[in-house]
Amino acid sequence: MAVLVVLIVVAGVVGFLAGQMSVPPGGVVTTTQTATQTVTQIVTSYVTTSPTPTTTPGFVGTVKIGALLPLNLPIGQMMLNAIQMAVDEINAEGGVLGYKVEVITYDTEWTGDKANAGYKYLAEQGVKVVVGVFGSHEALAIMDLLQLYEVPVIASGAVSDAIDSMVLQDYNAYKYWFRAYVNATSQAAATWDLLAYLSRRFGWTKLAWIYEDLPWVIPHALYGQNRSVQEGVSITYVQGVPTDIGSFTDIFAQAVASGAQYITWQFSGTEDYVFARDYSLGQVPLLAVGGGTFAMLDAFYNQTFGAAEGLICISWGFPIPITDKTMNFYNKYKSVYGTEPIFTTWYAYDSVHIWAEAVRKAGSFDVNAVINALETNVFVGTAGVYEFTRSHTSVLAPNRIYPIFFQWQGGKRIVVWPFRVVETGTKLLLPEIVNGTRVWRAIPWP
Amino acid sequence: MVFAKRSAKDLIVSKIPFLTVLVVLTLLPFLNVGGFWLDVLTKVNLFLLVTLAIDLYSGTTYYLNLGVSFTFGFAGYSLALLNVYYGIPTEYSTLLAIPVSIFSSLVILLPSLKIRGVYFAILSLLVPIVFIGIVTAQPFSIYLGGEGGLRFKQLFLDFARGLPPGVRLTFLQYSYYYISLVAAVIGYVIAYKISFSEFGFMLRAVGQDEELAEGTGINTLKVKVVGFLISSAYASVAGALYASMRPPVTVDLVVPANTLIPPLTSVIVGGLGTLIGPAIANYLLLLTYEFLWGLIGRWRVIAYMLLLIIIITIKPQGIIFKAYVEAKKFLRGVFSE
Amino acid sequence: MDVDIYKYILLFSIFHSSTYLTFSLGFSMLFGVAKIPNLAYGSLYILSSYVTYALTTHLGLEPLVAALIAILVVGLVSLLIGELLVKPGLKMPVSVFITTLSVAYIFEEFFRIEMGLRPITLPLYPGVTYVLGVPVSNHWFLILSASLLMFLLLTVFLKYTVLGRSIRAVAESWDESRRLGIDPLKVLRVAFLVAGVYAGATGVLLTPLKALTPTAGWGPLFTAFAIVALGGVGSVTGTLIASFIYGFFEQSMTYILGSGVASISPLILIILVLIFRPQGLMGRVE
Repeated sequence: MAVLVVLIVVAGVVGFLAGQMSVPPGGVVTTTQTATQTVTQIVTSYVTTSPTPTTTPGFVGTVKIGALLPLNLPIGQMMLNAIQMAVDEINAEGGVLGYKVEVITYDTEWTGDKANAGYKYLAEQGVKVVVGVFGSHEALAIMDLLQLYEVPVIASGAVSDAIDSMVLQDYNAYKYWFRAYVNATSQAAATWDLLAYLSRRFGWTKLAWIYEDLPWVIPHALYGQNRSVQEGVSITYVQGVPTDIGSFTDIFAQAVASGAQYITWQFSGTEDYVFARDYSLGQVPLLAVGGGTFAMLDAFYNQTFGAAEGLICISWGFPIPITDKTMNFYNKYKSVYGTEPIFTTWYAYDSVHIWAEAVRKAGSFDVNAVINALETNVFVGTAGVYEFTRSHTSVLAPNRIYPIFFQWQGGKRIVVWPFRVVETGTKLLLPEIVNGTRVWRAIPWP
Repeated sequence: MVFAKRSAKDLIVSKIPFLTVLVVLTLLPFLNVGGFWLDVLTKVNLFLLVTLAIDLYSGTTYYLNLGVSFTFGFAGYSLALLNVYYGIPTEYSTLLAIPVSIFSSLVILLPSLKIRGVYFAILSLLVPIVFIGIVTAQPFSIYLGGEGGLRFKQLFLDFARGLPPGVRLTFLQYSYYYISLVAAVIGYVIAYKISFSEFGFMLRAVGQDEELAEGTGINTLKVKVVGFLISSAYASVAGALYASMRPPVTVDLVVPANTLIPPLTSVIVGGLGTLIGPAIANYLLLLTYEFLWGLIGRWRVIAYMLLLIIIITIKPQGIIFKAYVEAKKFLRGVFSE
Repeated sequence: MDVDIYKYILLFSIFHSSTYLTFSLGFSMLFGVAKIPNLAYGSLYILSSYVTYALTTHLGLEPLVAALIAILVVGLVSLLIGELLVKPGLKMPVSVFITTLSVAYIFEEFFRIEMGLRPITLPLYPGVTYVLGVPVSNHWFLILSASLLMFLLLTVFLKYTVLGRSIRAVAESWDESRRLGIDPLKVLRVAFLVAGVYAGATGVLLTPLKALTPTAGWGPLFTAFAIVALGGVGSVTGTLIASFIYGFFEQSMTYILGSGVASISPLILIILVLIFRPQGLMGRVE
């Protein structure tokens, strides 16, 4: 029995040490409070008597905004950090129309059900706007609530085209929805701009397409079918894969055998890792251009132990001066939170400032005035410039919202597209087989 | 089983807790609870039906039907499909979905009629999993709404649109709440009656010793089938109502973690085989979880799980029922002084 | 198709089956003894990878050493779970279902907080071998040999050692073993330890193949559950056979039906088998 106790203690100690050491260098990733902090807060909130609402000197009152996010996912936490940062900045400059802004959140736990409950919760707490809304299924779950509660939503995610159709078909019911990001078709279009250019530049007419077999890819498929025909590119190999796929070896073999001259890929889960691994192991001699949530992380190269070399990935938001606000935000976020902002984190940050600016332009918090301000103005953010279309999504264009494509070269993310942001002296790595091994040949780029 | 005759006063006194709760629940919307909590309570009322579904069958026969989430979700899918592909308005498709779903539950029952114990549990759990797999697989998922699920007009929406703007929301919230409350109360009363009826006795006999029950002349097969169908009826009603109030219908309705685990937990913490225990546990646990968000935010998952672990480990037979019995004894003692 | 698909199906069926075997072995043995599925099993799988990662990255330990420590730690954690949660709940198996599930959720939250946006990756066993012209990472061979070794070790342990035989006796019948003088609770402890060690080994072996996220434990847990149901609760040989059936069936279906339905096709197979043979292929009839 004593032996058992000793063993348990040892296990506990080692586990504790492992946990302590796992904090990545650079600081804590999330702003999750420690349990002690939380308990202290609860206790002190009962001890000190503070009347609500507190009016801070300089502000005429407080308004709330709601963040509806999947806080069980890292991206949700990161978006919340960005939203909070934006709110703090706004308050530091005197708030919105003299009101101090406060963020309240609701965890959707990545389900439509909780998203639905969350919107109602936030609306009843009196928020003036709901931001976040990362998942399409989350957005679709709340669409029919908008006309009942009349709280506008400025989402930074939820790319489903179905939402855009809803706004177009029944404006009065869905006018409250705005997307400070692009829809799925735009995402596909951006990738195809590069694929089309590569086709023209290198004379490639055969493409292999490997994708994650989930509904969000369908608009990409539809768009690709049409665009490929326009560009004179034939898709010689198509393969959908499950998220838990264990190996791409056979898929790559088939892609090469089909005569494809380059590959495009789309994943949102951990397939990126397997893909990179087999891309390297199998010495696949085809350029691979695509998008994956993890492939755009700065840590991806090391995590794959260099297998990611040569992969070209899309990135929405990137640390280069897309606008004059980009680098400030990037550096500030990184210094405060220890990791770089990725993907929709940029857009979440922008969405808050967009709302604030719209309110200022409208001169009030009234929902219809704000909607009108959003529809009739252009907003400069960190990820680009936002202009809302008739379906209330952001315009995809080089001078509006547009992604960056980078290639993993020697562990670094080198921007290769679009050309207006590519640095002089950049090279593109092309794969070729020399003496039975795949090597990367650097050519001047553009 | 023979019940001693009770005096009228005793009868009324023993029903007081139940009646008090009933009165409170009925008046709740007027106590300025707010739409969000009404919404939560609507859900909790409907989940009571699922809790009873599990308790009525698994609590008596000890056949652990882990496929309840399938029945619950299938009712939702039936409702949505009838609506989207056959144009049947929500109000009617909800009613139609119930018998359809009860019938579909035979998918769990029929293959497993000869199977006992842990194997029955395993088999029943595989049904919702397979259903989820089929529904999310590519050829099928497009017809089932894709990412957003099957969308349709929520219950009474057309009627609500005809009302003045300020009233619309309230009308929907209140009507949903009262429907769910009525369903919960009726469900509970029926469960009570079944429990103390001869049929209930037969169910428990099957659970105690199936061979012996067969030997005493009980048609165990019929008892199991009828019991299972009653249990499915509860889950189907709950699923149909729930889905009708919260479009879109997605696979989340079938995921065991959402619609099996919470009611199952209520049954266990409440006391498998008792009625009032799981009923109280249902409200207590689900409301606490919601409440914790306001208190400790993201930490609520860990806190709640730890609480469950502690409660169940200390008292695997469930604490709520025992606590309730103790409370009643205490109150009875107080009132008879 | 220019590519000879059959060699891929064959090769990867074998490799995937061996991965299923590794994570089903421990689960199967424990389920057989305790008669309760340990739903925290998936968490143990992630935990060992996590500890290995933490030890190699922050203490700079040799991967092998780190892995061994991690496996040991996981074995102990498994023991702890058994002592604290399963033992008290033996009177009421269903309740253990909930408590181990809760533990799994707690672990998931813990991993979420610790891992952030960075899935865990571990290095592959270096080198590539060409089999029938197909480039195969040597890591697959490592897994294949490890899984068979684990199977053999477990079989030998259960058949030829006193402790192993006690485990089988307890799996057969708790009452009978008591009458034979075996203390089922002691045996249960050993079973938890061994199952934990196996879960730990699985984590370290399989993580390099992909990347681990906090929710990565549910897939293996569920597959292990299905395989054990198919092979028969408590039968290690059954687990071996079921793993390969599952693997081959899944791989073949992927080519015939496409990836969508293929992942649940083995489940449908299992349901069919269970209808006619509820105890699984090699399980004991109750």
